[in-house]
Amino acid sequence: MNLIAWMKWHRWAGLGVALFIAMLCVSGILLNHGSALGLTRHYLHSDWLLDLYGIEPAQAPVSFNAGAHWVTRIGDRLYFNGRELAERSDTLLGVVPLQDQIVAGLGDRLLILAPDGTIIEVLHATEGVPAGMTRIGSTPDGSLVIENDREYSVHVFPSLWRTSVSAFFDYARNLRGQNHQHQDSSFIAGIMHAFSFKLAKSLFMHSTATISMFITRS
Amino acid sequence: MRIHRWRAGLCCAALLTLGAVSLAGATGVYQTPEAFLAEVFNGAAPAPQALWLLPELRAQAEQILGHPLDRLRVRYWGNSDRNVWILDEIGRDQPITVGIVTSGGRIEQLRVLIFRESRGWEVRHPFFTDQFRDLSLNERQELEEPIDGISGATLSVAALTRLARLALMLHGAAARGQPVSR
Repeated sequence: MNLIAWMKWHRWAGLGVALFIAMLCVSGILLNHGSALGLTRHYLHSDWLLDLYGIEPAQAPVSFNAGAHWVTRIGDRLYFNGRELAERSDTLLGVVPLQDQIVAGLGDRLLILAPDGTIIEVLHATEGVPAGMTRIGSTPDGSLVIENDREYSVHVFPSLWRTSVSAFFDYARNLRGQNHQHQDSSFIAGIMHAFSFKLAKSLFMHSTATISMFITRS
Repeated sequence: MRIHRWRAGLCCAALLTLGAVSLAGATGVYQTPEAFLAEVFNGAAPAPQALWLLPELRAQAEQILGHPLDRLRVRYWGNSDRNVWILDEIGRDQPITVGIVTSGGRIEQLRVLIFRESRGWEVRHPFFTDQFRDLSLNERQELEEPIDGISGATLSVAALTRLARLALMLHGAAARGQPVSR
């Protein structure tokens, strides 16, 4: 094979690879600066795009209401009336209104919210939250109830935790929210990045193999 | 020549194994907050108190952290002159839980309790945390002495420095008699 034919092959192979390299660069920049560009806060709602990439929620969303307010967990993200909270958890056991606050049970801790969704505080075992929480609820007089291993701990603000045998508890019930599919845009950039990388790599390998074949023949 | 290659391969494998083992043991719970409290108070931790973050305090906390503190009150243990603060701050992706003992406006002890990041775990070692001992805040709400960084753990070092400043600022607020509740 002469030099001109070689150059032709090289040019077309280069053009083919350049396309994917450019895609790799652009999607890489988008991935690297996803937070700064706001991509992680911009969610995809297009059904066909979500279906195309096979994006489905890992688990069914879990929702609890507390009066007029509702708290939902999708994956490890928590939402108060549809607004994402700064706290994350892969467990949401229940939500109950308590005096002028809303209490959400997150398994190993309690999230105390103001009616406007502001996090007042997060209570852990160090603040006396019983371990092994399985359900939370409230008593008719407005005390918080935590169930763990068939024991009931009642918390009356601002007193300390005590064990109770009372059975007049109203436990929070899961509302089984609708199956929402959400994925931030940086995920798509990641898919494109991986796709471009694989294509560019396989194209490079094929070009190399083809060129080697021609060298061997000539 | 073959023996040299074999030896080199063995050395590489040993190094990789060592790296993997050290990385695997890097993240996790070094000490539970409950155990830290029990150690500081000799097994008799007092009931926690809550410091309300009034607007002025929230503004100062935001200035120190570089982002808003996402809660309205912070729990602490102590008598306003010697307090324990258990605080979280994200280094790169995950929160680092740190226990800080403040006494008389100075840091008595700082310890990394839970480390969840994949890098930067070196900040848990006493050679680093001992730098915070006896430090207080200057008038610009910064630590009076610079903290030596650790290469590869820059974000974790910055997170711990922010938490140390925050704990001292909160200690000052508690000592001044800001609204607290049980």
